[in-house]
Amino acid sequence: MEYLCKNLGSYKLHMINTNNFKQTIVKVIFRGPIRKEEITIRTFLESILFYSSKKYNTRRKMLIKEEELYSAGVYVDSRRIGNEYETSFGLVSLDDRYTEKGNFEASLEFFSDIIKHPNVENGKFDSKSFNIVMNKAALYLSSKKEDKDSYSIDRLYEEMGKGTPVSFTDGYIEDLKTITRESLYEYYKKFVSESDMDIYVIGSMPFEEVDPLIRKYFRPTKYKKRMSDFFIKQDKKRIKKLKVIEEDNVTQSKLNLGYKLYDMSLDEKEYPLVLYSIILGGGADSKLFKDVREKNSLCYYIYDVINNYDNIMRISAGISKESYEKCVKLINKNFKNMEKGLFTDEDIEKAKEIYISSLNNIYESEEGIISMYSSMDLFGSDDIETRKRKIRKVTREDIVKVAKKISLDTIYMLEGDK
Amino acid sequence: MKQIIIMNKLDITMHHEKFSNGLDVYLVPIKDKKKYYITLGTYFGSTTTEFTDYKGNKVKVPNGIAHFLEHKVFASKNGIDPMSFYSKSGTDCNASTSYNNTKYIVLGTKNFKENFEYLIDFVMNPYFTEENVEKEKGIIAQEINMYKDDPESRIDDVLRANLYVKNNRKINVAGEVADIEKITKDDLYTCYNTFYNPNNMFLVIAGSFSMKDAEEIIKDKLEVLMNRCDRRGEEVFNEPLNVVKDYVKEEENVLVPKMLIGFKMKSSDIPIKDDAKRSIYISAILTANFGKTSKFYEKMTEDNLLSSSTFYTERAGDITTVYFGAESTFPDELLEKFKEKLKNLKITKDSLDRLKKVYIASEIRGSGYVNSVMGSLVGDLVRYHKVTNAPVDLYESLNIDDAKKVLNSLNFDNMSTVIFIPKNMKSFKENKIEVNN
Repeated sequence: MEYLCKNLGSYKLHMINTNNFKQTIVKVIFRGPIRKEEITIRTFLESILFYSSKKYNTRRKMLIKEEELYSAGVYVDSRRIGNEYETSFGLVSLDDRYTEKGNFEASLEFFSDIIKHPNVENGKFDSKSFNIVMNKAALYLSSKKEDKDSYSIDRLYEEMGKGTPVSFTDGYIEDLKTITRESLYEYYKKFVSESDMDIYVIGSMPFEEVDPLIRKYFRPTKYKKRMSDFFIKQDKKRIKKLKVIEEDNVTQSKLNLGYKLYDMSLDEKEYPLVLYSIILGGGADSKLFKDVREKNSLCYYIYDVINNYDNIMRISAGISKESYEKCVKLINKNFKNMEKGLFTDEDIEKAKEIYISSLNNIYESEEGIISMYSSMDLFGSDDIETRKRKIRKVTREDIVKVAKKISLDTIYMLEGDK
Repeated sequence: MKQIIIMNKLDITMHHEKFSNGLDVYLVPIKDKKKYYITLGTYFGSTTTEFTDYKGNKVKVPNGIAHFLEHKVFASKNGIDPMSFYSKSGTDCNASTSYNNTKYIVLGTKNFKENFEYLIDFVMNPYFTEENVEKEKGIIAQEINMYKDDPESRIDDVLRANLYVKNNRKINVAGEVADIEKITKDDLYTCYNTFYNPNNMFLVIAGSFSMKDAEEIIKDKLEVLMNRCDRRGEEVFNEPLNVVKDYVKEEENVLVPKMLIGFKMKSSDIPIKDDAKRSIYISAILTANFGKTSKFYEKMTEDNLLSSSTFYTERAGDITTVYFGAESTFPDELLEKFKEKLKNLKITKDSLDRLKKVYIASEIRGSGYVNSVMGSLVGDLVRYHKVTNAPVDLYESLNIDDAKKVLNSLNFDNMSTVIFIPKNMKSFKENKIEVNN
């Protein structure tokens, strides 16, 4: 596998050459500071761009074209990285050796055309597509509460991250109502001109063929990159922990505990904290799983998850309403045990192996490989070999040190009485 | 019987062997990968609850037992549980139960030998006690409750109950809390001894591993296993074609109405003998008529009658069941349009050729990933008890004449529909956005 990065002015072109897969993936990534009032319109834009385009002006025409290109897949993904949004447009195209020469270029042309030439007439998005995307978005936003898990997690973040991007969800029905076909086009122009841009290409095609093709369909222009600050700093500690219990018509209650990470360096987060998280709640061999599920039979799932950019940690479990006190107590006990260093050397070694194995798994998918190079580029993360070396050096003291920098902030439970 | 199968156009070589004890083994080394994936499975799933056990006695066991058994296979006598063993090498281990099978899987990048041996050891040496069985009940009750809050699995449960008369696919895989309360250690041993025998099991290994190591372990640990009884666990229910209820509409904990429709057809009424091929033709016909590139889908979305939809087929003994699921603000209107369209299905050479391209492309792409290779092999095994040797050739062999024959033979008379509407349909409609651009 080889990697080459070229700074072309308005975007960086990252090329990865590998023979491990049978398709080529192109990812065009836009990034910028996140603002709550723009979340809904950006999500709307992402949907409508891939719904129809100037050339393929109905959904059906566009999908038929995809099928003709040997089922070229175009997709859009978006996420928040701390203070920034990241929107990725992707193309997945079967290698020419399985189709016919030129299928990749034809797919790339189709893909770039979707991004560059939206279905707009007289400064307004096409009304048919607009109405359909609007209906779908309204339906999605008004039915989000159906997924109790993700609803309860959103609610925890809303409570614990009030006023910060931590509390942002993926859209707001009030904002949706204000979007018009004109305002959407205005936002499109701002989005493509003001966002930072990266392009990743991964596949078996040699660099000297990829480079001119990408330049042909995404013409670079001059652009000065802005400085971005991804990480959300947590500084205020809550004296009295926040506790929110919301009633709902559910069979299983959803318990979520939110923690904040204080003054942790990137290195601490990328090494000892990873081990901390695996030992505490990283799977079926973790402290929480063993104690709350196996020993006390209180839940089916329990885990922790860390968000480096937001500087927070969450512990989630599905429990019965009656066992709330007992669960929280057990979670607190296991959390405190980490601070006290009450875990074995074997726990540490096993966590290191789990981490190393996850590093090996990065090579098994194109998405994993792209995201590895992307975090090296954006945050200065280490490469895989360095990561393996550094993780082996982490000591018990390092883990206890990060354990002491984590503090419970909010407990949220969606409580059922069915 | 040993076979080497070169999967045409996929650059994959598969080594297949059926041992004298009946165990079916597929070894698929894939180059340039770091990961290996092992599946050890039994053709015993949730539908089998009444059977002749390994001692020859007719028995009836509680619903949900196959899934309960899957949980308890992880219990071990010496106290080292599999999860703890596997995390030592950073390896993933998991299991799942379905209507007609239970699978134990191991995914790792190192210690292949030890990890494979350990998988066989823990699956083939169960240890059930009254205490460890009781302890599991609370955990599984929480698992059952978790699915109760998920409208997608709820609507599936309700439809199956209305669709199937005899087949236990009418009951959800995990059973109800009251069912699992009844399960005893002896029930588990009865099921285990009857169905966890080599003649009722399969093994698939894919990815990066040493063939030599794999073959040695199979020889030492699996080839020598004895069967406690003849093969059991086929899904035989003499399921009639009629449905239990053809239409149910209920208020549920949903915010957007949901609809799920099921059709029962007799597989032998469809003029394609091969099970895999038959189900591909059915999917192709449905995709051409109701899929995202169909005119029906386009019209329904434009009229705001459909916001998302899926369809899939299921093989339940000699019954083929076709499912169509949708989210719609106006489910009854959609149902009417759907029924109308069913009377007038079409398939053209153009649309079939396009679909063939799509299927073949997806097969080739998938062959680049260990997980997806495993997924298709195991998928074939649990559905057809054999593997499609040349999937690309199979897709290429699809032709418009057969497609039309299949289309003409489809019978949509035995149909059941479930609609979930929000508890407060009025407030749902108020929340709807009026677009005036």
